[in-house]
Amino acid sequence: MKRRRFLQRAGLAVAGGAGAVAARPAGPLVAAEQAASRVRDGDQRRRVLVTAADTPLARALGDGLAEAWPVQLTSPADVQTRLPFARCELAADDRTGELVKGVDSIVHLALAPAGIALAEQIDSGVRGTYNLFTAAAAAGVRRAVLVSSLEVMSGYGEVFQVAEDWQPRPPADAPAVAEYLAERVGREFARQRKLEVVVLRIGKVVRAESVAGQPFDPWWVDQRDVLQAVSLALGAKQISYPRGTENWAVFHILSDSPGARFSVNKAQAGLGYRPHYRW
Amino acid sequence: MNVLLLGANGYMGPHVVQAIAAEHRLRITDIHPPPDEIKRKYGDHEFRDVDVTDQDQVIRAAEGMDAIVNMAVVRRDPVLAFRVNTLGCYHVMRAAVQHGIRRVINTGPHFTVAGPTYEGVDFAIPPDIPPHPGTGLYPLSKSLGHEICRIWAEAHDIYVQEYLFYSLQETGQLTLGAGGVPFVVSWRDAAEAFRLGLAIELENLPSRFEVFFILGDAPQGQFRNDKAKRILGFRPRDDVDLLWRRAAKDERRKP
Repeated sequence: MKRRRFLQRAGLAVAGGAGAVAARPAGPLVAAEQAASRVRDGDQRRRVLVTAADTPLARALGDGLAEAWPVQLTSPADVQTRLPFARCELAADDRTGELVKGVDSIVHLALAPAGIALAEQIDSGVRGTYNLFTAAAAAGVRRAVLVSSLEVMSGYGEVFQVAEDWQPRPPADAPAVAEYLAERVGREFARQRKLEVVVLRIGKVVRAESVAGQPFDPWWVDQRDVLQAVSLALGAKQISYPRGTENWAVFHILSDSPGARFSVNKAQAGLGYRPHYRW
Repeated sequence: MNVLLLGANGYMGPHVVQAIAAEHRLRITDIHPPPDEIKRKYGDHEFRDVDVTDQDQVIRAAEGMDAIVNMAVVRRDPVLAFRVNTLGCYHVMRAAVQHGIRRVINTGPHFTVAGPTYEGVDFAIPPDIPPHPGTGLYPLSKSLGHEICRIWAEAHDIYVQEYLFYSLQETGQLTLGAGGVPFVVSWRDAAEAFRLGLAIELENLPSRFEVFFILGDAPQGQFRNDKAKRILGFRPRDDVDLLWRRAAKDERRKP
């Protein structure tokens, strides 16, 4: 029952009910469930920390991941949640050090918060990521899944089929700059072998039911497919694909709708990502 | 040319002021007061308190300027390092865009680009390498500022020159056999690079974002300064290789 509920939340089984747009039926045992199985059968020290818990996406990810992992949420502001929660500003202090003790993996949402000036997005995003990863490396955290945005690739014209091995081109003076700089921080920690870092660049997160009937947006990705991708990134035995970069990987996460702005071929091949919602 | 100097009252700034004051009108700014000698000798230039972490202050300070030279730096404070080294660059580039300033000179340590995966491993390291600053607070925060400058230069009609340094010494300290790191330049040669960078026709720069290693002719061959020589016309006057020369034979024989 718990397994089916997890698969439903991960978009890998039909949820049933009205509003599920083009949901695919459950297939054979898929990578996410395999990942969850390894968690149950393996090392007890598998706590997953999810940051930015003051955002709906982080809370949804936390709730979904909690089906298979012991999850703790954190954010600079208090939030209402049924999950274990620790308030932390991700400063360079003991509090951040305590936050990551006993954590196996981190899901760090580096998405620039809306409603604040770009300068503050850059400062808090970069500094928070740096402090978190510094503490995580010192505490022996194994892996960080850094949730970034496909906007960092938006500087290319739409004529191009842009892939993960293209140089990021965030538009100047856009929140994507803050997200890109957070990725750069992660890249150095991976390069120095202090953390495994998996970057998931996601599109515009929606719930399929809530956009039913609207004109297709090629940047859409269903929240449940994002959860699936995060689960896969947490549970993957090795993250490098296709060549052995060992500690660093980047995947684009979107629907695989025919008109999707970016291809998810690499995530499909490298993570076993199977987007469930398409338009 | 009207030149805004940010972080001008630290180690580098007074040397730069001395090198360029005769040729340009300077707005000399910092959160710290200038050395008395600089204030006295260059009193006909403008002095102002400007905090590079404050966007409004930087934008106001850049008004009427033709070039910005950013020498602001924080090395160890975990908050200020990002606010000065990273965000400071964002404020500089915003100011340049707002005021139509096309010439920016930004500064940093050599490991803004040549961090632990290069340094101590490779030789003939040029400045045009993919930045590998490592995870140290100072190099990484500077490298992120460097990236901001690059992104803005590519998006706007702004030419950014990045001058990277490591060890800077007074000419008198370049003494026989004193040793030191293989990336060293005298203060006066370093300052001369800024004079050259303000003089060069912008269209003679290969692109709108160029990185230069500013060092003397160190004999070890670990880091290359030929790009600064070729493009800026940089000609170090002080022989840094003295630092690693052995004493003459008869002197070595003396008890």
